[in-house]
Amino acid sequence: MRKISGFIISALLLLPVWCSAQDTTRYPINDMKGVRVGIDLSKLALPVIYSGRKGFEVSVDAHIKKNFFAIAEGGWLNVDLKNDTAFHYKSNGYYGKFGIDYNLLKSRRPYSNDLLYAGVRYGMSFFSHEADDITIPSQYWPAVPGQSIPGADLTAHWIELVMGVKAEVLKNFYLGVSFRGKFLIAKPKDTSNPYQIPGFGKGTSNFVIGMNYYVSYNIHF
Amino acid sequence: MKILSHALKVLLVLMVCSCEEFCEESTRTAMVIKFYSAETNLETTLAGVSIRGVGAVNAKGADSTLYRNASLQTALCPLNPGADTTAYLISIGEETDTLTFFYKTNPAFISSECGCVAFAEITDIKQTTNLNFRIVNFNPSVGQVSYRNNVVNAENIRIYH
Repeated sequence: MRKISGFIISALLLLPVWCSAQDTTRYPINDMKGVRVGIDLSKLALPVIYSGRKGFEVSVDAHIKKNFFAIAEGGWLNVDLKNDTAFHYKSNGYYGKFGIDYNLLKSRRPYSNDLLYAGVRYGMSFFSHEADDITIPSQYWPAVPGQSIPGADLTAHWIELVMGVKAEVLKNFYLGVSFRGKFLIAKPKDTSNPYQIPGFGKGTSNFVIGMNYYVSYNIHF
Repeated sequence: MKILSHALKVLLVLMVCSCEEFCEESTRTAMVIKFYSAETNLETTLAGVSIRGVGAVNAKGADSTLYRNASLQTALCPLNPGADTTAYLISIGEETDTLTFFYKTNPAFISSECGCVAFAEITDIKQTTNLNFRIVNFNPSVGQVSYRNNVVNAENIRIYH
């Protein structure tokens, strides 16, 4: 299933190139007024994809100049994983990201707000984790029950490189997908690495690839 | 862009279908001991090495020997997660030394599929000196055993002989 998704993702990235090859007329991006607010549907689907996880992520972006958009994203992640014989792990936290997107696309239609963009984000996360009822297995020594990871308040900072598309499917309504390479620049300081860093991903990795799937609405004012 | 918007809707459905199912990480934690030549300071292979944990017993109740009369360049010796010291007997021929490792255990959660493991920070090492080993605490952080090109990709203790 992951290979099929990867193929479709690659095809999606090539679609703007294929579409643009059909018509040589180019129009500058429309000067989008107001702000576009969105919600990440992939975060809402977390409980279905990963048992024990739930979260949400929202974004706000605005056209600031020519092909540049300022963007802020923020969200929340809660992890509660329990195995009656081995562990009960809990994590909860918030994150925020700020950055700039640059539109690479010259549309085939006048007054089009579709985007193919590249961007950069600075992200930060504030969260806590703990675990109890841990049984440490061992292949050589006896297994040890009754262990715990004490609660700790943690922070993390990272940089993201983003590539994505946003298509105006109905007037002022957008569907978009983005792919991100995330580089951890400040690790959480704890003797036990967190399982997940909200907004970033796997707590033991310095580099993570992620994906978002947004539905957005442009609020005019 | 109509094609693109329809494709995005299909992608949303596919995303829901990708799930974690298996433990894909090593859950084995062990202290990685590498042997070096005291003359050349290069990695070396020692022959006739036997290693056994003090107090370790196997399921049948007999002493559990990790390595018996083996030729070793690298030895993987787990630390007891239920204690703060672990002692190993290392024998070459008729001579035996006792190496005692002092450490702090840190439980770590890997994933739902993999469960928890115990990492450790080695704080001190004591030894007897029958075999004239020189022990170096090269990297005190004991974690998951991983391999690169079939070679253990970590090193905690260097034993010069």
